[in-house]
Order: sequence, then C-alpha cells, then structure tokens
Amino acid sequence: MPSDSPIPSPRGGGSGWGHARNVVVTGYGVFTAHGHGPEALRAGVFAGRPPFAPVTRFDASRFRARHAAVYEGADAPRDQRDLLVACGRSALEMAGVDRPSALPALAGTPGSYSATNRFWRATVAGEAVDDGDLAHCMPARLVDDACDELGLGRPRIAFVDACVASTNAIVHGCQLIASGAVEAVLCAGSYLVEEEAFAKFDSGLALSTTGRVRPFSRERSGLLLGDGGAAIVLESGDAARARGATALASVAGWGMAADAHLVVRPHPEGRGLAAAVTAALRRAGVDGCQVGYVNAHGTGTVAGDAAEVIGLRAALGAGADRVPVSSTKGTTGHMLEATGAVEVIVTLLALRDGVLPPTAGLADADLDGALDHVPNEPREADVRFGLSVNSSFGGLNAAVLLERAP
Amino acid sequence: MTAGWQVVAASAVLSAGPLPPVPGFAHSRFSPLVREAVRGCLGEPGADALHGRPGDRTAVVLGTGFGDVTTHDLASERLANGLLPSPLLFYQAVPTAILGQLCHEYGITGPVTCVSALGDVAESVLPLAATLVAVEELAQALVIGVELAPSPRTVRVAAGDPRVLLPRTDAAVALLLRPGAGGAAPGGAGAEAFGGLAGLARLAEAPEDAR
Repeated sequence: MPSDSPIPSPRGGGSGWGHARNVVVTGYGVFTAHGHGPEALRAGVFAGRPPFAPVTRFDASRFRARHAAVYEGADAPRDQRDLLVACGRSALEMAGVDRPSALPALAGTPGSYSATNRFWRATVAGEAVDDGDLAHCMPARLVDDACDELGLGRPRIAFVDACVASTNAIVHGCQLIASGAVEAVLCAGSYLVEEEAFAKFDSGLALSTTGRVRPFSRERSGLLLGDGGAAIVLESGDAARARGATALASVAGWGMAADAHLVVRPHPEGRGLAAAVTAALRRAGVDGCQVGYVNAHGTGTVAGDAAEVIGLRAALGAGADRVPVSSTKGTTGHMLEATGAVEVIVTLLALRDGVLPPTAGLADADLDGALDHVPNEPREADVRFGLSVNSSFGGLNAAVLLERAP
Repeated sequence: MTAGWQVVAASAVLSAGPLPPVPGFAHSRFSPLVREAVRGCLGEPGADALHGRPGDRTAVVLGTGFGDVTTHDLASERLANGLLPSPLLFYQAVPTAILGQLCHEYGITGPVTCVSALGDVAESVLPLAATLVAVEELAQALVIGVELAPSPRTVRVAAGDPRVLLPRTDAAVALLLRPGAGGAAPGGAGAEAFGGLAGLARLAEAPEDAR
C-alpha cells in the first residue's frame, strides 16, 4: 500500500512492522497510585501489590466505601492539568520530540469534578470562586491548558466517554496516523480520586466495601477508584524511522464497538467487547491464539467481569483458555477516563519486559478454566502480541493490540 | 481531515419546552434533549431508521462543551449541603449513558465516542467523524451536538474565555452524515442561538442543495 493511501487494509501476515502507515509508540509517561514512571509500575502493578487505603484526600466517613488507590508522595500532581503535563513531558522526552507543536493532542478526562465541587461549596458558603480553577470543570479547557504548557499543536480534543475515554483517544490517534492526516500525535488520559465521583459510585453501590478489588474472583464485590494518568506518543513508522526514533512497540490493531444493550449492564455475552477485539485482530491480521497477553478491563463487578470473560472467549476463539489474562485494577484501582491509557502502557511494559502483571486478590476464579488467569504473582512470558481492552457505561468498548518491537 | 458530507437526515432542537422523558434518566434535560434530537433526525426506531445502512457500519460521535451540567451540579450542590447524591445521578452522569440507550433503541453497534470541545463543536466532531468513517470503512456517522442552557457555573466559565460558546437555551443537533461532496453550509440564519453548536445547526438547517 502506498504511504499516502488514506485507508490501510488489513495487513495479513500478522505484522505491522513493514507497513507504510503503521503506527508505533515512541514514548510514554505514566502515573498511578504507586507513583510516577515505569519503575513505580513494575514495583506496584507488576509485583501484584494492592495500594488501597482509607481515603484522606476528603472526608469519606459518610460513604459506604472508604478506600481508594491514592498517591500521597511529595511529587503528587496537584490537579489533572499538572498530571497531564507531567505525563506528557515524560512521553515527549522519551520520544525525543523536539517540535511538540506539530503534534495534535487527544486526552481522556472527565474534567475536574473537584472544581465543580469547590464552586458549589463556595457558592453555598457565600465565598469567592476561583475562576482559574473553575475553568477546568470543562474537559476541553483542562486539556487545552495542559497542551499550552506542553507547547502541543492542534487539534486538541478531550474525550469524555467515561471508562473508554483514553482508549478511544488512542484509537483515534491511530486513525489519524493511518489516514495520513498527521505523522504523530500525543494521546493521554487523566483522573485523580475526588469526592464527586466517589460519592456517585458509592451511591450506585458500585464500590467494594472490603477495601480490596478482586477482579474475576467469585467473591468480587465491586470496584475501587484510583489515581491515574498516562501519555503516549504515537507516530507513523516512517516518521519515527526518518528521525531515528526508537519504536517501543507497534499498534498492530484497534477496534471500537457498542453493545446496543443496556445502559448500566454490559451485554451478557460481551458482544460489543468481542466485536472490538475482533476488529483489532482483523486489522492486524492476527488470530486470537497468537495473542500472548490480555490486559482485561476487569473492574471487579459481578456482571462486568462475567460478560468480559465470555466476550474474550468468543473473540479469541478456540485457544482462548490458553491466552494469559489479567486485570490490573486490583493494583491500580479504576482510573476511569485514564484507565485505557495507563493499561496500554502496562501492556507495553509486559511485552518489553517479558513479564505479565497479575490479577491481585484472585483466589477462586469465576468461570474457572475459561481463560488462563495470571493470579497474584507476575509470570514470565515471551509475548509478541498484547491486547488491552476497556468498556464503559452505555456499553461502549475499545481494544488496542500492541506488537512487540523486533 | 476535511471532508464534505451528504446530510441524510437532520434535526435541531432549541427549546426550554417539555421533552419526553427517557426511562431510567431523571432530573436533567441533557439525555432527553439528546434523544429528542436523534428522534427528529432518525425518526422512531424501526426498520429503516438508519436509512438502509447496517448498525455495525454506523458510528456515533457526540460533541459538547460541558456535558450534563445539571446532573453534575445537582450532585455537587447536594454534597456541598452535606447530602449524598441520588444513585440515578451516578448512572446518567456520563454522556455514554444516553448513547448506550440510543444504540440499544436503534441497533447501532459501530464505534461510539464523545468529546468536549472549545469553540465551534463542529470543528472538532466533523473531522473526527470523517476520519473514523474513512479509516474504519463505515457507511455513515450519527453526529450529535448537545449543550444545556447557561447555568451559573457555565456562565462564569464562559465569561473568562471567549472560546466557550453557550447556547441561548437548551440546544441539541443530530445529523446522519455520509461522505459526500458537500461543502460549508450557508443556511441556518438563526444558528448563532445554538452557541458552540452553531456549525452543526447550520448544517442541519441548510437547504438540501447546499449540503
């Protein structure tokens, strides 16, 4: 296919490395409750260490649940703008991007619920409102301010589609590059635990009251929220080669699909998730049995995890029970709009390190035998293709398939 | 990416009047407003609501500035007053909720995404939809814009940033678009009342031969 072709066809042969419009990862920045950077991920997420503790960032005493995965180190970001800037700067530096103004930016964020919360507290108390703070309640404005700080180009788009927001940002970044519209893009996601979303999830009985998250376990009882942020530089393979950048992995495939089922429950057979994964595999020309690791959405909810297992089995096919799968939400919490970007980087590290992160707290797997779970301890594995999947309220699903650098 | 569009069907709503409720959604006009615009565009769910194209080759792209301001403010104001938010506010707080409902009603299983935009929402969502349709080889996109009437919070943000464009009252636009040869639409004399949705409203209100 010529390099100026607007639509890449499925590659066949299972490799994107020789493709003219393939998409590669050249840099990333990441933050979770374990701290900043890949070493914090390795020490926390890959070691299977749950970070949940009673929340002190706000008064959680009136809620059913009390725990979250919150980072309290001295270098903790003050707000989501700081978080996006920190992750973006790390990603640009790692990629060696010297002209960030050439890069559009696509970031998943809910905007600052904290700013909305402070506005109403000030209004109720009759106190002055901080307008600079309040502006970040608007997701687009939050992303724009972070992009200004990083010197990024346009378009700048805030993705607000809940738990698939930053996955969709990455998928759209890949589409922009595949279409030939741009050579490189910064994709990101951010969320910091705050009272507003905590209260909503608590009122919806979605949070675990045990202080733990146990994805895929029979005794799973809900999710817990977690701080998270990530940024990733995607480039066309040609552009990366031309400037001598190191490709850390290729994005071999991606997919998005809707359940068309119910607002608050996934399709019981994981129909949309299976369709998103199938689209990603088809684009890459890869069979399900070639996938060496799946970073599942696995929030620890009863209906969500069961549907995901069935959907993954359907999409991965006959060899699904031999595909290693873990959910890292037991070691990060659910990072909402940031979750997809963070988990794509977890998947990237798994490919590069040859180590699979475990599902923390997994003792008695529901639907046991359906998938090759990685319980509690990391597992060494030689993985070429790694898949990261996410789903959201309303039954939106997205999948990103990475291929290890040769 | 710039692209021309064939506008297959369109609807624009600018109204503070009554809206049919959406089962499972409460307190806020955001989701009923979105559904009203989509009903006006596609008609009632049925055999040919997607105009002869399959649901798995139809994308949905929603653009907004602030999203469901009413739901977020209700929850936040309750917290500020020492009260807990209603569980209903949890379920409907994100725009994916109403899109999930609409995908269910119309049998849409293709890619769905939602974005927040500064300035004219059309400038963000139309190129995004064009790229999505082209790269994924889809047949069409249902493009939706929605913004609630000015509220104390959004007025305050808009006062400090001229790129934040609020509508005169509750506003929503829905367009069923296919790749085509259309250019900028000159129609829609009243489109400015749609604030950041003006570009989408012009496309919806333009004469058929101008699309």
